[in-house]
Amino acid sequence: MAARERGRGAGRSGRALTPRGAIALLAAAIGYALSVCAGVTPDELPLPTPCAGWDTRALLAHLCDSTAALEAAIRTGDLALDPKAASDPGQGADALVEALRDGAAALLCACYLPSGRFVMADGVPIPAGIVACTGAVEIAVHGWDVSAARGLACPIPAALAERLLSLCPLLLFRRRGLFADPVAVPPGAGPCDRLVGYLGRDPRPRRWPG
Amino acid sequence: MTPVFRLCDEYVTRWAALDPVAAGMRGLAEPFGAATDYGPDGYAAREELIAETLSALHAMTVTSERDRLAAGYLRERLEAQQAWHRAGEPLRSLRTPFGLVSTIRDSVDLLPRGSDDDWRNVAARMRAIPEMFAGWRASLDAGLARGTPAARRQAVEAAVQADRYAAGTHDELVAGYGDGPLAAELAAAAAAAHRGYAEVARYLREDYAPRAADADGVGADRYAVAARLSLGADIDATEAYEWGWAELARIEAEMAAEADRVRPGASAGEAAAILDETACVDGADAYLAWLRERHDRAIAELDGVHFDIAPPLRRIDVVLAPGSTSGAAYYTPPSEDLTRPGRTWWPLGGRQRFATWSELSTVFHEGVPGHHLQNGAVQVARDSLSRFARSTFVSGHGEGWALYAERLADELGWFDEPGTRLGMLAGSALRAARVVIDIGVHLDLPLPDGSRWTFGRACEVLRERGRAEPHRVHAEVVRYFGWPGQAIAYKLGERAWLAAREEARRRPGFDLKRWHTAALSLGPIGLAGLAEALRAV
Repeated sequence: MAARERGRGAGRSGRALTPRGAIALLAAAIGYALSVCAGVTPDELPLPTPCAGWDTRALLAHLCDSTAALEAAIRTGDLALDPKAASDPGQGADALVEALRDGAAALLCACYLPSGRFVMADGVPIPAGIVACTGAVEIAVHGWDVSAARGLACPIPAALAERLLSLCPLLLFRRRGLFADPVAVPPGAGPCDRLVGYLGRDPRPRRWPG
Repeated sequence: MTPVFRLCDEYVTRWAALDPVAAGMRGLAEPFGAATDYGPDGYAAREELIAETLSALHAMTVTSERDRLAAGYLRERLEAQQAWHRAGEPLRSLRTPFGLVSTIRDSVDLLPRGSDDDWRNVAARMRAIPEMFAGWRASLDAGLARGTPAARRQAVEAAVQADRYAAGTHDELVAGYGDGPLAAELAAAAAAAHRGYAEVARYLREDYAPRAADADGVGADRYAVAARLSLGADIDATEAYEWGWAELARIEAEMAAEADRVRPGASAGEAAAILDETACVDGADAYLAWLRERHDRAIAELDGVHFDIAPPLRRIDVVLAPGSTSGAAYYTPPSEDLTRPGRTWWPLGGRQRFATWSELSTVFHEGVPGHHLQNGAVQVARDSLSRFARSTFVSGHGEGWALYAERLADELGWFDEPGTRLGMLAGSALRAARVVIDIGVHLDLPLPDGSRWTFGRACEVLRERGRAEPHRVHAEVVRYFGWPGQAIAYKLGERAWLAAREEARRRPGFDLKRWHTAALSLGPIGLAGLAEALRAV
């Protein structure tokens, strides 16, 4: 029996879905990311980002690829560990943002599909809700990266950041290779700063090395 | 003016006051109103107006053939709309890309901009957008509370559309005003509108989608109401579904022969690939120039030969629509006073190269002899048609005519450049594919291989059998899923027009030019009454 079938069968209940709370979190993260990516101009594509070695074009392409990989994982029950790129890095700014919007819509639709409760990753069943929440962290924080690269003062909404922050220790217990070590933030920092600091970003406004 | 014509007039005036957004879109010369109430009370008021008008019409006696046509058309349209209201559709009126989000947005672009007062109206409309969305949300919430949700796919896709608009969809229009005295007011109004789109996107994605319906299909009862509204006729959906598959196969056989002319032995797909490289223009400017030249040429070749085109209709605006999300070209009619010309809109769809071989047929569909000629004929008919007939539209009649216009262009030998006839046939295949997808999805009818429709399967059929261009497939299928009964209007309408013409041809003394002129002068008619009305031509 294929891994996919095992994954789907693990939670088959006729109408098993990604938990609604996880979808709500993902929807909010998508809304935030789309709002800060909207209107990216061709001139902004070469801007450096908080992700070392990635300019804004590469980051947008990565967001598109992550969104597509997540959609495929939730739809099929299999997480491809080395997914094919869904985006064309040669695309213009408008096309990249448009691809992200379409990918985000497909991802949300997939979350509601009557599929299994587990996604198989390298033979290990992971609850679909965990996959969706991890996607929410990825999408929100990369949205913040784009916002920072563009010099926008658009923090991740407090309620969303608080919720993601509370889930991070569970979601990222094996963070090596995924995020840099946490960056200390001043006492009294807001939820967005604490979240991005936890995920290895310096929340202070600055220019990132190219 | 007869009592029936007066009632039609009163209905349009009262309706325009209740729905100024739609009235402006239709070019009605009514006093400007900034906002339509899309809340439950607004819909209830429009439903009440329908009931009152039908009641008044019931008590009237028709006094002439024109009166009979006007009364019949008013009754048919209002009964179809009444059924839509009674089915609770206003409380789940959520579809994309041609839904309320785009209607509100596009209504801004269509407002006059000649004077400062016009620009004040533009600002007022933009300022009213958050309020209109608030009303709409109240209706959608009421629908959810009543257990009548719209499909989730439509909510998620409409959120994407609203997000796109939130990114600054009105900025270009505001910039077009320059730095005059209203610049700050316009900028503030646009900012408010953009916040409105962002908020409705959030609502649709985060509040509505979780409570929306899983299924895309609407089922037999809702489909019957929707199809009646689009066609002006009750249809036998199963018969139409089977006919759609047969029609698709017929067109594919013709396409195979046409592809062979492009290159002996080539499949339709291979021929299309060859033509994409050889029969095209590069760049948006070249595309627009080509479109304008072809619109003008069609008018010059038709006028006086196959149609008599009234002078005001010899001008047609051709514009690119870079922000359009529909993927398909469309037409907006001239205003009632003909100060705003008929206009065809051409989305760019992210392309830099434009395949002219496949788009020529659409020029005939949207321009002349298609929508522009038909809508324009209605406007120049003036008082021989009721104001209601001049300001409304039945998809089955109008889209059927436009598809018939493509067929007519073929009969006139206008597809004489390489590949253009294949382009026309591909467009026809698309419309036949729409019939099977729309009916199949909403009534859950099996495909010929026994499988069931899904979103992915519909995309596949539209791409492979309907020959849809890749950039159109997703938006097209979302549209069919969210707007039941509309996508069938083209092919079933064309079928009705062709049948009526064949019947007329059998009568002695038949003259095609006269028949066309007379047929268009009747104004819009539901397909159920089309054959009978054309028999009297």
